Amino acid sequence: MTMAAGTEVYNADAEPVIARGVSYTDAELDVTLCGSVSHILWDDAGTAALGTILTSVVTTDFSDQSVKRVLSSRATPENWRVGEALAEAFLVEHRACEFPWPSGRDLKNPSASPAGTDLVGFQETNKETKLYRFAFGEVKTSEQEKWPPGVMNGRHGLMKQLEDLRDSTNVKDSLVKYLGHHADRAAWLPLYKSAAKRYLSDPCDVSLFGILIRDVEPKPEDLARRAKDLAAGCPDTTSIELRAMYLPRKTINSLSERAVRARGGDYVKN
Amino acid sequence: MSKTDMIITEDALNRLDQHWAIQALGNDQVARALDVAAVRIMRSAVGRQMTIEFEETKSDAKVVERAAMAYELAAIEGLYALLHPSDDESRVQLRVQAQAGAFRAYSLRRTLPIPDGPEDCIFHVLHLAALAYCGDQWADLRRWLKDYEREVRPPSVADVSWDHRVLRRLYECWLRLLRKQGWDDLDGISEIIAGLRKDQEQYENTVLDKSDNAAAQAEALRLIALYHWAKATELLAIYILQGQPVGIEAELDKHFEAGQQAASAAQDAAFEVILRWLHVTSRRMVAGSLALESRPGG
Repeated sequence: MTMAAGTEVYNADAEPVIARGVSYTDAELDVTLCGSVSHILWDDAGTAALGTILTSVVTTDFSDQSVKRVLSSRATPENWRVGEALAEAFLVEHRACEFPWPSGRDLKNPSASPAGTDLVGFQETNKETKLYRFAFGEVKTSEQEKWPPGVMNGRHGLMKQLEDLRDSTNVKDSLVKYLGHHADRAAWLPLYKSAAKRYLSDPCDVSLFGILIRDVEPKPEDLARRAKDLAAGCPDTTSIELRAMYLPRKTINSLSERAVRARGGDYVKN
Repeated sequence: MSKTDMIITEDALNRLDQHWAIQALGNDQVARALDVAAVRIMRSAVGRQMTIEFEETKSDAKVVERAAMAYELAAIEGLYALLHPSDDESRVQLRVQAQAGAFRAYSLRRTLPIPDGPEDCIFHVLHLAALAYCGDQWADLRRWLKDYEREVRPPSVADVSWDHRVLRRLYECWLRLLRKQGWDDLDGISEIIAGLRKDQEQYENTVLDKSDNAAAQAEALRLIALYHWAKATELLAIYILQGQPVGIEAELDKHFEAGQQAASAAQDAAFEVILRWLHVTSRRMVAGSLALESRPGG
């Protein structure tokens, strides 16, 4: 385990929603970037697959010139990607979650088909009986000196995304089926079956996580009102946790650079 | 549902109902969903000529959706065996499970409302069509497409981004493949795809020029997936018309698998899933076409 749980700076719980703010020191961030985040962010298998995909375009009789130009450009992870990897590492190491694919492979296509969430996987809810349920996570990274930051609101804001996951089966159904297509012969097949049985029996029986990555002064206003709103319509069997992770001040804009250096590479700004 | 489409046996359906996904839903829910769907189909067939005494409750729409999902999960489990048939007994069972699951999922989903948004509608229709083909309900699907001709017609490509233009044009091609309204209809598919290749230079860069490098790369991957789907569609249409190329199955596998890989890398879950379903559908079309005696020159 290389990621610290952080130091709790406020508790804004609104039963049954858990809402906590935690702070991280520079040293804790460094350790995480070198360890857990590095494993998630640098997806060598995904990078190798890109090469194969690229060489296949010529067989379609469409021109590969432009897509080649875009895909061959050196991709330094955006700061928000590092933020997402931090969230994933926390959920894996402190919330017994398992995600079949590293979020580092997630390229975030804004015009992608309308089904998706930042993190989708499983959470172990009973160690002895090996019971699992589906875990869905949404992550936002913001350095805005505003509490709550703008990324919490609006059509693509964290709140709307979590409300949709709480109230609607559309996105969850699509993702459960998507995982089903990949489950055959996967090491996580037993986890999938365990979670899918529970989901079919009760589509509310899921874990939802909303993670906010910040580098400003910690204030409960980031989460308090949102926790109350989410609690108001929370089904009995759904668990919702909001977590604001406060990194040292002014570090978000150098997260990518630090992640690259932690891997021992040369940072090139996109 | 026509008897002539039905090659799924009662035994296969009974065994399907023992599957963990169906059991998780519960027998009462499944029975209710099948009743609701059966009455909806009957009502749509008889129109106002007959009154059917059956009252739907507020929760029935959800019940039908949940049951369709459970049957689809059972179908997905056997999809690989359906795509790559083998004499191995366990694989045979999985193949039968996939067909029976798709049959049930189709019969439930065909009674659900068609979504309004163009992209949602496209994905809904293609998904339904794939379930129909995997569940040997292609003739019933043709009737469904005719009944909802206005609702499922291809959306306009005017003023849409390049990726949506390709998606909408490919949807039009697949409607032609599914409704089978004659050789001219199928013949137009190659022209549509040739037109897309011609348009690529003019429109492609408008969607690839983004300041966010990750977003541009995701878009590029999504386009690659669309191009592979286009090539597979073109080959399939030519095969149905001309019976060539001989190694069509391998060609379809190559392009659909590459398309799925690109959609997966773009983290476009819904697109990847639709390509998986259409891959199996294309192979079922080829198998059906092989059995067709009326192919010109065939």
